[in-house]
Amino acid sequence: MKTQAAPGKQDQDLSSLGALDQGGGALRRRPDGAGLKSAVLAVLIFVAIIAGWQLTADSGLVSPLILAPPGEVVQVLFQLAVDGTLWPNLAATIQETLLGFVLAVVAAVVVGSVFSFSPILRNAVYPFILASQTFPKVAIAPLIVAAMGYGLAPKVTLAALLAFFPVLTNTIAGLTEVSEDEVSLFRALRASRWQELRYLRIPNSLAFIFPALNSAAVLALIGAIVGEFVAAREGVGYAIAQYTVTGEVAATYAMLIALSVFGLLVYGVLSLAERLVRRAK
Amino acid sequence: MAIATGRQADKDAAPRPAAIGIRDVSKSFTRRGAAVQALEHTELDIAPGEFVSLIGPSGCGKSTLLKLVAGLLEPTTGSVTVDGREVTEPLPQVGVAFQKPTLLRWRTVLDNVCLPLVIDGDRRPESREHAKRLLEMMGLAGFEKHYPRELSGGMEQRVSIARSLVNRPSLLLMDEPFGALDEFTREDLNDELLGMWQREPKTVVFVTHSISEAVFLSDRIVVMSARPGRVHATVPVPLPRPRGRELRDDPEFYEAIRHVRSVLDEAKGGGR
Repeated sequence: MKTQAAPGKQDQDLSSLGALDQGGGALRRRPDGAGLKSAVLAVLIFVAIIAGWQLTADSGLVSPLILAPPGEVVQVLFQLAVDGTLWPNLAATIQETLLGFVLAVVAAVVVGSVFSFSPILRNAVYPFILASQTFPKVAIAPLIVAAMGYGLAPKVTLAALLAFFPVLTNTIAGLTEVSEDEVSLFRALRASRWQELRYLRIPNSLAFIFPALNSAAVLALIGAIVGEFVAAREGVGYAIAQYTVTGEVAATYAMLIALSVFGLLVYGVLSLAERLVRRAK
Repeated sequence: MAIATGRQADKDAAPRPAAIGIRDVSKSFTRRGAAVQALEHTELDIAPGEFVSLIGPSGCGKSTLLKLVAGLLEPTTGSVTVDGREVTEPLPQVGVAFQKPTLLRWRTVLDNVCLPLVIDGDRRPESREHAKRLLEMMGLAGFEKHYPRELSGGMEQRVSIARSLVNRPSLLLMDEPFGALDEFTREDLNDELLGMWQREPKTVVFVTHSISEAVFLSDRIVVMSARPGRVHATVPVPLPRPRGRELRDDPEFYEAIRHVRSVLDEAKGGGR
């Protein structure tokens, strides 16, 4: 079973080797001022990207039908925000994405937990889930829309379908990949199965599930946008499709920027949630 | 109510050390289809309060024997008893320390030490105080709120030992707990373990690869031989107690080491 990185694991292996002595903690911390240097560098990179973008647009090498200059994009973005075109579209996409995401996470955690308790069931059903993952679900978007109509349902379904798998695999991995020593420890302490779950497997799984949530959020957004591309009355995907047809390039870019701001927001919220959950443990 | 307080009081007092009886124990595993005889016809009695080390070449079944006493494995034939009761599952009066510290990385040092209390449903503040005192005795005062990743290997192992003691076990089983540590850290931890044992007497079964460690700590050293694993000889260590670090410079200490080594060489040679 493929899994994403479980950050805690490596640390544990390192320190249990005894390779790091008392100073080890300090070694892992960033040297003073590195944070500031990174921030300055990030700003420089941002400026370079904008400058490169502007220069490319000015040079005329790329058709204005494909690339709008950054100044114009910001202007249009502002205009869309003021005249109210941006918000309903953004709200629709956010709603579809979040609903799909939550649905996928709940379903994946429940199914993953059931699977981790029943290896027989897991081995029996897993090939089917794997098979359903190997074909591009984006390709069935038209079918789903045909079945579910133009509304919210097909977008949420697509978003959930795409987001489901990474959470499922990591839930199973997090609940089952505990070391033999840890299991022996809990057995020696006469822990019940529930206690083993509560104090060992669930906390262990969080280190696996949280990284998966980030990719699940991105995939849910892709699902929602694809659904809107196929057929919709509103949404960022719908708006982008419209603007591309009508040649409003700057508006297309403005929508993309709005989306990436939303993406960053989701990332921030997930990181915050992770920190809060870890602290509550 | 009277019974409840009685039990509570029992829990806080140092319990009477446990006695172990190992009667004609054999243990075989199936590994990749082939049967492996890990232990054969093993007999051993350990008296209450005794500090016994198990030593021998790898594959002699010393860890297997320890896990049988811990109730983590079941013997194929024969029986293991602790305080006259046959071991069929892990017993409550037993503390176990593993070769790896096996700390939960999401729990702080203090919360790791308190894990056995949490599992037992013991949420009394005085038990938590006891955990803090144990950490202090292990030289980890001030590290209660640290996470395992912030500790060195030696410190992690100290936490693990404090955890194995927090329930006031009458029997402590240690499976090469200092095997991965450097010589200096190992000696420090030997001193601390011995200090703890002298303060709160309990039966200890200690698996190790190190002859000097076994001699320094033990009343008796059980030398095992491999394939199939069995008890080759039992060597008493006549060094006086209490033992401190100065013992390591004592000629008698070296003499005892030499003796154990010769018995161990015999065991390795397969001679009987």
